[in-house]
Amino acid sequence: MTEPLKEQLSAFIDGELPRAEGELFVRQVPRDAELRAAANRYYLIGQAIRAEPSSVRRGFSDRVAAAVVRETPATGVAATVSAGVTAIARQLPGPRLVHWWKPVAGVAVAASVALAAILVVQNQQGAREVPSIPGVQSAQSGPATGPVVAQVTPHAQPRSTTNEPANPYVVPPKGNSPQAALTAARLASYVFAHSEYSSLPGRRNVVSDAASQDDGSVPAPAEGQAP
Amino acid sequence: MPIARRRTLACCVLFAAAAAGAAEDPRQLLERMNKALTERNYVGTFVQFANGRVSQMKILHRVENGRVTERLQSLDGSGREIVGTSDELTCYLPDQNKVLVEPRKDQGPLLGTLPSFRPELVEYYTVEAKGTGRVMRHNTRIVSVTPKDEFRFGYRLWLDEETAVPLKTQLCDADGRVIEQILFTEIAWPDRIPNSAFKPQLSTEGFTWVRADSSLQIPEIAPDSLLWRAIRLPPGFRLSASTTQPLENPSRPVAHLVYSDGLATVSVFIETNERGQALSGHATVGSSAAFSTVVDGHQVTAVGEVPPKTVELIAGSVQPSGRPTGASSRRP
Repeated sequence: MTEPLKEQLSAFIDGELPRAEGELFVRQVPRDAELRAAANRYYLIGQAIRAEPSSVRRGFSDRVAAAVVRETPATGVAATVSAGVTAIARQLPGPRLVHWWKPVAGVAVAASVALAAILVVQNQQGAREVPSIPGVQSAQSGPATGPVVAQVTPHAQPRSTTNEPANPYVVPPKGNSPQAALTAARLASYVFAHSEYSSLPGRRNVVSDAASQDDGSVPAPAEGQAP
Repeated sequence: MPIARRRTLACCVLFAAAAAGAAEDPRQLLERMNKALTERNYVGTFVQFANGRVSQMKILHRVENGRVTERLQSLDGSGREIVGTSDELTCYLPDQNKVLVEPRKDQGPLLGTLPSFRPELVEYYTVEAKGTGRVMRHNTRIVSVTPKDEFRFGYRLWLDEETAVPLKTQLCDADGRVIEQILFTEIAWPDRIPNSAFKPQLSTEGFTWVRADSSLQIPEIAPDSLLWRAIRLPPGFRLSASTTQPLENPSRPVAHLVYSDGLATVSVFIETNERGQALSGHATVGSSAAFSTVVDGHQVTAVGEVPPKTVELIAGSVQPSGRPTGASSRRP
């Protein structure tokens, strides 16, 4: 990538690129894999260089600087951004969802859209021991929480307000979907249901992932057998 | 200098300082931001960086006679769009020749807002005004919400000085590392947005329209399935809601518990694992984390815009209610 393009990218990420130049640049980013990868790297670089010293640890800055020198592939940066979880899990074998949108066993339709947001599940057989973490309160003994018993709240029935659909609707058929899709759909359903209660980032996750282009290579979560 | 003039000058200085202080109050700025995102008309283009992905979107948000209409359009070439009204969300997927329709149960904007910053949150977050900056040639006020421990994420927000719309938003961990960034590259606040602006530009001829069967009656979940709770929580988290969700199979709803510290939210889903397919481990969902495990033949999954260790802690401590403390088969 050329030096002027790098400078342009850096200015863009900081919101300092002139308007016309920014518009051109924005159109270019999603279409150019190298530029997209570089955008991620420079995004981190910008954070490391420009953030207040207290908000970015030295080690992190060093790692980013080293990544710049090495021009590591985008997956390396992604690993840094997502604290390693995604990158580690990407190395694991597992079934892939070729058609994440495939209707599955009565899945709420918008939830199936959220499948695009599922990156991966780390394959871990069996139940895990929960580590003891200092500072964690006991919900049973903690004064703030008290006895916590879930109460039944009747779920609102879905409503239809579309009077004249342009085409007939089709309810997704049941029972003819791949197991992997079913499992991924379950996770997607959780994400969608959660987004109703979450604030800024959770909501955005669902809507922006639904709207953004899927590359057709979203790995399905790994499955184990119930004990 | 005469005493009267000095007093006048001192009063002016005090007044100016008070006014500046009021303008800098970060909580007020956040309230203004939520109000702006909910009540204003805006049309903008933004770029989202998260999990090594770059997405570019256009958003339209209109409030007319108290009714909100929104349109989120992907600019990545796929042509995907989401149009939201007060009643439902319609997802246009031209690359798949499909349109998905989902009833909308909440009225919040697609971009989301932050909850009101309650006084007790100061125990878990530091809210600070970080001065001013410029984004996209707009003057902005910078607000930082920093978590005080590693169980939650924080935010850095660049709010337009005039409208308080967040022109740049960063989701950060406790060390200040940026998990996700949204940057508006273009934004306008029109007084009026015509109906035609919310109509998809694509033709849906030949598309399959898919929606959940609204005629299905969702049975009440067995009470025993709802009597679950997380027995260990990060400081400040409490049960804030419990409900049932039809999710995959409306005839077999799933228990849904919501834990929140007032800003961060974690959902816990508990369902009978009748299929024998167990999810176990971590997932990354955009900027959110998920963790699944199996407890007493039930699939327990926690999802939230929090660090992975938080969802693991909460999901891993979920137990059927009434079990004596420490009696879990998974914990010593």
